[in-house]
Amino acid sequence: MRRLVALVVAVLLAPLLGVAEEPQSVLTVTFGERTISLTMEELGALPSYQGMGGFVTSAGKVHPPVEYKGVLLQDLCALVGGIGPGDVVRVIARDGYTMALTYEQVVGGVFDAYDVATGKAVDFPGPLRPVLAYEREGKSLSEQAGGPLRLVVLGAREVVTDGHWWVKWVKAIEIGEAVEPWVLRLEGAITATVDMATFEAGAAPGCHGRSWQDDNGRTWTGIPLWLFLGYVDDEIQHGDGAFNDALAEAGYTVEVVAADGYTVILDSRLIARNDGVLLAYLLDGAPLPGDYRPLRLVGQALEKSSWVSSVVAIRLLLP
Amino acid sequence: MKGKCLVLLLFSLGAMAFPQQLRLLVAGSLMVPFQALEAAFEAQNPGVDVLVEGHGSIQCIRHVTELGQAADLVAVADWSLIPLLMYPTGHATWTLRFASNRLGIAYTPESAYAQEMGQDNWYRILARPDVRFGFSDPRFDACGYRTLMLLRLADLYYGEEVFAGLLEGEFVYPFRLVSYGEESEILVPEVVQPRPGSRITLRGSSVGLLGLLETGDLDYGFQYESVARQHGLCFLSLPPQMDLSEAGLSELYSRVRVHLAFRRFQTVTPAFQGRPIVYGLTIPTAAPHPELAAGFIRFLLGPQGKKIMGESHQPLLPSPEADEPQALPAGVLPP
Repeated sequence: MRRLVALVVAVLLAPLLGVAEEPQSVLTVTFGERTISLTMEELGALPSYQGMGGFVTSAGKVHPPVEYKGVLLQDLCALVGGIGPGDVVRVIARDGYTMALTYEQVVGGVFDAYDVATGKAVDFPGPLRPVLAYEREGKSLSEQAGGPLRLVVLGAREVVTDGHWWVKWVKAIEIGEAVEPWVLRLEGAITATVDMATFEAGAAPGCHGRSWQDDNGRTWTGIPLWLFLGYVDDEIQHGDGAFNDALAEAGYTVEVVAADGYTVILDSRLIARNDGVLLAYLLDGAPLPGDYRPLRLVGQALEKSSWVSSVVAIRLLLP
Repeated sequence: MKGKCLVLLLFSLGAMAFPQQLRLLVAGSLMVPFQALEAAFEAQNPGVDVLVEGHGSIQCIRHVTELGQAADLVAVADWSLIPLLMYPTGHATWTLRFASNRLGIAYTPESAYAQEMGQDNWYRILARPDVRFGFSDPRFDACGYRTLMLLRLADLYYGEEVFAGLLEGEFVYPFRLVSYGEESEILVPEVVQPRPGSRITLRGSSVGLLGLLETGDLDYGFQYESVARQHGLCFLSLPPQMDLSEAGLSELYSRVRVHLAFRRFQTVTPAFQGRPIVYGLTIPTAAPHPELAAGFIRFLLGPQGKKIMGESHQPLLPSPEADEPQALPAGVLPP
């Protein structure tokens, strides 16, 4: 508790420590709706951790340990409420490179360690600490060395860890639940699967993403169902001609299938070009609650009894 | 004559003092043969200093496309990564498929039940409670997601639940297998963490398993044949229906896909379809020494390169081929 108070006081006082110009934020730390931005001065005012660390590349090349100084990742997490078992900490670089660390790694220091000379796996005595470093051998971290902020893994004495944890150019830290992947199966004239990453990319604003507010003021965000029909209703998957209007007007059955096999049957004429029938993956901007995941069929054009949770497949029964 | 000799001498001294540096970014599993190629090429080309740098395949490409580093040649363990990740940004315009490999099981004579291991029972031995085995983390390493494909293909080949039998209950967040008839999707969670006390060990790269096998901390590890043999380990070859080595089995391999929830690189869609293991290389469009790099490829595909690759258990394809032959530098392919 004392440590947490010291951290908060340090963050609050840092701007008063004689900084002439408006310092720029170099790091954001987020947990749910709580976000804190930190300048280099604010980071420097936090309790620091110093230690030795090096890394081994995936090809087995050892970069020998040197001394780093920075802030424990655990302390940064504490600024927005702390990390608990089951949470992951995503460390995000400015070029989008991301690593996810577990509670056991952040708090318990559980990392694979390697011999400094040979690069072979060893049991390292004592915990290892993931640290957001801002100094290397007493100097500010250079751009080339991954600065101004780099994730490093340090020990009380020389240690080498896997290079993929050593994220260069860190700009953000996010705490959240571990993501479990899913796929949506589409069956029609052809078959296809849409995975989580593809769905999320397609649902981006400016792409196919749509939002709709229900009677309770809740906002559902996702992709209109008719776009998925267009993907598999004939051989044309993309572009203006992807959705086969003639086929939909003639009418065919669409089955929306949940993970437990529950199926809702819809008519293609209800869905055709209708942005009011959504496969939603967000509710009020956050991931769907567990019972609804991964996708929920919702929309103003549907009776509420036709809403389907945990959608895993769409089947087109074409004539 | 004397003047000409002096010029040549000065040129030679200059070349020795300021050698041309050829920077090669290669997949970790290519390090052993490429280090041998480096020595042989330098011996044949005084004044050239070859720098071989090993990384994961995606990381090799990322050094050029996202970190903006200069490289004369990029060689990766999955040729399809080059058109996928380098063409859209104009960092490369062709890919030469040049070598193959196979996936199997590395072990030592001291590994538990080593004398019993065979093509028909390996998965039953790995399932024994006193056997420890490992593979590379599928989030970080092609060998890792290829191992998951192998286990699913083994289900289909043996008609038994090899995938579930070896992996179920071993991880905090489970791998999920979704099947539709003959097609399968393997879903890898964002966090891949063996449960405490699990018999399975993961490493960030397949090379990282070697030390554990050598010290007896692991009994078995899924590995490329070339890497296992280069390090003097025993290697159990598996049926071609699952070892991802046969071009003729492309259709079978393609029935398995691996999807990662973990998105390490913004530019990489984390989904991989099963296909034969074929290595690919290219000269990036911004390579500082493209002609020298082309010379290195000629050397690699020539008799000396072929011998070195063969001795490293990393055979060249009988007929290396480019996807865009018209873009290939002249004279790279043997006549």
